[in-house]
Amino acid sequence: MENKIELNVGPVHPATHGVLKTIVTIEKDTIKDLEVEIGFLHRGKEKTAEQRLFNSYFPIIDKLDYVGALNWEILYASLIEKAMNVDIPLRAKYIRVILAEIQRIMSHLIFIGSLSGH
Amino acid sequence: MELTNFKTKFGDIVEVKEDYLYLKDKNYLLKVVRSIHIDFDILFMLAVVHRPPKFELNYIFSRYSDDETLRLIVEIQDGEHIESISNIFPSANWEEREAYDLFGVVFDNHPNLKRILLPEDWPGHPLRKDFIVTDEIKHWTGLDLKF
Repeated sequence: MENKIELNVGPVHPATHGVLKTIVTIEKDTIKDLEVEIGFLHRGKEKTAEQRLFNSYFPIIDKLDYVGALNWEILYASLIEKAMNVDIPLRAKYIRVILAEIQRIMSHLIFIGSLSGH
Repeated sequence: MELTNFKTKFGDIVEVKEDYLYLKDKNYLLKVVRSIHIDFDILFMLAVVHRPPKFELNYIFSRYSDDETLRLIVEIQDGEHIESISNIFPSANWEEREAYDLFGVVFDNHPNLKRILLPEDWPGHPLRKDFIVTDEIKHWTGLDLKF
């Protein structure tokens, strides 16, 4: 029992994108228990949204995902359009699809890139 | 999955609405969820809506075999507890912790009910409608928290 060591790994570690803290219980060289702590990037966006006009929330929704910002913007804009019963032109729909695809590809490339190390 | 199947299964406990199931009595939650677990193997999301004085809990289930989803709505009064479903769906563990963290909904028999996103010494539950952003919260630095 006295051989057990509790070790905090994180919240910041070079191998993690974003921030994650793990509390590991170690006995000799074996990990016996691990507890994950998340929420270091939590910024209370929902509460912020409640306190702003819908159009001044766009700069914030951008920052939810730094490689897929436009996807979030499109999602948020579509939500407001649905709530307000607004129809957007076909051209705008095409532009949205193109932008969403570009962001999706970018996001995948960054994922693959970060797998290979820095 | 036809929603009407659940009507025959549970009788008067659930009400079948347009695209969701409405559970009339929260004491039957475990029974209904156990039965949903036969058809749906993922708890996709637990979304809470605060409509004072009630909390509306949306349990959204899905499954690996196809893209079918099922929404179960339970309503509880402010201050009431509800049974945890983390024994049936392990993913409910974190979802319920989030609901507790942001709304203050207490889940009975939860293995580890503590804050998940916010720091342990955060004052109040921010997504409740009666939560007011005071100066104390605006200037909160979290320096009291010991790592």
